[in-house]
Amino acid sequence: MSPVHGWNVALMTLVLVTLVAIGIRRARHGHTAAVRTLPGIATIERAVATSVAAGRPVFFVPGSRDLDNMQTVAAVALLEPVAAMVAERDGRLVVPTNRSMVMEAARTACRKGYADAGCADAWHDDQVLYISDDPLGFVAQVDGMIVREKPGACFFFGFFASESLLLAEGGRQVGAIQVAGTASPVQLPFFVAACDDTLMGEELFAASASLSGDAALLGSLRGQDLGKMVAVSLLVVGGIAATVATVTGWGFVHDMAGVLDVLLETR
Amino acid sequence: MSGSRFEALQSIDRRWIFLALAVAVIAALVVQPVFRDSPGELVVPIFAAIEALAPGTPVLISLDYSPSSAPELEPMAAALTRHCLIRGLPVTYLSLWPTGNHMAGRIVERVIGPEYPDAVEGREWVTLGFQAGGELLVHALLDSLGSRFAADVRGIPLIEIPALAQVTGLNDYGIVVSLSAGTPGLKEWVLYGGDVGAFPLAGGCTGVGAPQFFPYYPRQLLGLMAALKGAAEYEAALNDDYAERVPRVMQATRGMGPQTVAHLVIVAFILLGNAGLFIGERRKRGRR
Amino acid sequence: MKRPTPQILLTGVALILVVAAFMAPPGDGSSGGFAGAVTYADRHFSSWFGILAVFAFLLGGASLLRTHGRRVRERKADWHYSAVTLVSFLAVLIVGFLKLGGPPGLTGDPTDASSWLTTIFDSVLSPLHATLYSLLAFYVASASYRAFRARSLETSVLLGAALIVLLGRIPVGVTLFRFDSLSLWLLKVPNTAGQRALMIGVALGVVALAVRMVLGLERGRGGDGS
Repeated sequence: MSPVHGWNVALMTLVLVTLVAIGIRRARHGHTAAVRTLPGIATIERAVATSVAAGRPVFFVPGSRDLDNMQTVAAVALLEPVAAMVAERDGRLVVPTNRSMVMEAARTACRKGYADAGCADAWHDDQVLYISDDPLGFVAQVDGMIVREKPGACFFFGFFASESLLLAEGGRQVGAIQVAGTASPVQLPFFVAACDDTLMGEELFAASASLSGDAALLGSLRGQDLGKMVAVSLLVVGGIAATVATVTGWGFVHDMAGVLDVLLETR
Repeated sequence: MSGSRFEALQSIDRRWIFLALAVAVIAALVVQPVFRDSPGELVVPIFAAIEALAPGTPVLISLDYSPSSAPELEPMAAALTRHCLIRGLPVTYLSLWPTGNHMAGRIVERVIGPEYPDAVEGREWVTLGFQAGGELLVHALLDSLGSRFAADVRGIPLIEIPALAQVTGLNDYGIVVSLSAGTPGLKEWVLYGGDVGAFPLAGGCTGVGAPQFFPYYPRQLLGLMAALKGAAEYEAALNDDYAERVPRVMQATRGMGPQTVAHLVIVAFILLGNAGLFIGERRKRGRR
Repeated sequence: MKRPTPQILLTGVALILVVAAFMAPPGDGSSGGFAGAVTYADRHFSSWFGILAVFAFLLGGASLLRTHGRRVRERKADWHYSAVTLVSFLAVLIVGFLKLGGPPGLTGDPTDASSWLTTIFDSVLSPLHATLYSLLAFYVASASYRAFRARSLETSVLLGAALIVLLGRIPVGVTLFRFDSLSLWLLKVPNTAGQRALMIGVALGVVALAVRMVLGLERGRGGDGS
């Protein structure tokens, strides 16, 4: 079986990893980066505060895929600071999951969050429930729980398929403050339409770093942005080179466009 | 109409919307209006690619969906199956989803069985079924089908199946079409199959998923059937070329009636809501 | 308290799989040595994850039985829903495990047309799936009515695009307004630009998250954030 990807993909991956690692290293040496506040993060804090003040539970749904999906990993990473936030205010957190391993990882994250808030004794493992591997069966139960328990805040982070709108409309029906975050471009429009705030794409992966305020994690965001600058530069240079090469036929511009083609070609 | 009634248009109870939609769709299902479609820009290349294949060239259809998405994707599978059987192209069905076996069974039961009684399993079509692995399955099949499938769903070894006589790996197929409702699906076929391999890849997807596949057209995907309309366009192409050999009104074309009505109801409510907004804003400015 | 073992495992497996993705030589890994190990990892680690997930299902199933069993025993609020859950779970488990109605034995196909499991799938699960999925049509209608309002320039553009695509995807809209080309242009050009930007951003986010995890910086994953 041949390798999945070629040398050019390896090179680009190495460049990106190096930039992220540089960002982390610089942050550890005191070169902190200013990170804009993600609107969704502020809404999370407001939602938790409002929900706890009203005596209503907080629901956190970490997506509908297993731990081999990076969005689920990002959601579980975000669960820890959210659990700490709920614990600090003496609220009740409910985390329905649809994969057994996600259930275990979520319990670990919540235990750590509650411990960080000094409320380790307040945590009960039953607050994280395994419901069903079937996505629609999962959403049917979660919507039922939302209608019966009337949470004040609903958070939907991770990978979602068709269940996104079903969950979001369920939360809207009971008047919950809703924040969602997903890197699935297909489901973003539904969350944007039905939730109060939405973390889009890479913001989901940045959220746990942003919420924790940890310098090293914030440094990784800087590296991520540097990687984006590299990507945009390649797009601009490549687009100009290809256009100029087509229009003028100049050899060196043609060669430059060819090099970029080889670098970015995946076949 | 008084101002408050206009402004009330902005906050219609959603149950009225549900009721209006239900009544409209039920009426369309009863009346069954038929709206003829014509093949669109993204569907024509798929049809043309299959037309260009020499009889006997194998075709692979990956049924990556479950019963919940079958209303949109099964018509595509049915239309592709009819086209391949008419052209004499042996079809291989497999799936990245556990429900794939069931979906393949439905195609056999509802299309192949009644419309092509002379078709023989193993000769005109073969079902390999579901295998776990998602993108890694796609990658493994590039080199060899046998690396992941020892036999078809009947338990017959691949080497004994005439429909697979010319096939070692994915590159031996004339075209691969993934009908996908989510993950794993068409995106995995593009990233781990079509982009890395040397076979023509086309796709079919739900309406919700369609926007994410447009970036892959036309380089990684030679064509895309998007939602029920895409299936209806393919059926229209079949009707244009093989009118006497396919049903006059097929599944997707029949479904476009209720879809048309549903879209019109949604547009009507959107316009109502905006009418309430505009008139309410004008009245507020007028009072000031 | 630091727990180095999970982090060492995570970092080690991640590095092996990254190397395998780019450098796995042909073969099945039986050649031995570093190359053989890398190829073996490339081929089999995903299967190991599947096996782990199956064992993890035992945990999930046990949790489900415990949670709902307690609700029924203690007659907590809405305990009857828990009773339905337990009965359904156990019934389908027994039917599938014993392969009732279908070919028996270890090699019997539980998804055979004659099996009770297939009957349950066709008669119960499929219609339930279709029912829940069809709720989406109604929810899309109410969400569209609520979301597409021309309150500002941006939302007006969004409204216009939505109307063009909604009408361009039905034959009536094509015939009356000729919106098919315009809706296809909207999907092929502005939508594609946005999708590509999102894909690039997401890919960068995944790389950054993966680096944080491999370095043990990410919280809630066995790493303690240090």
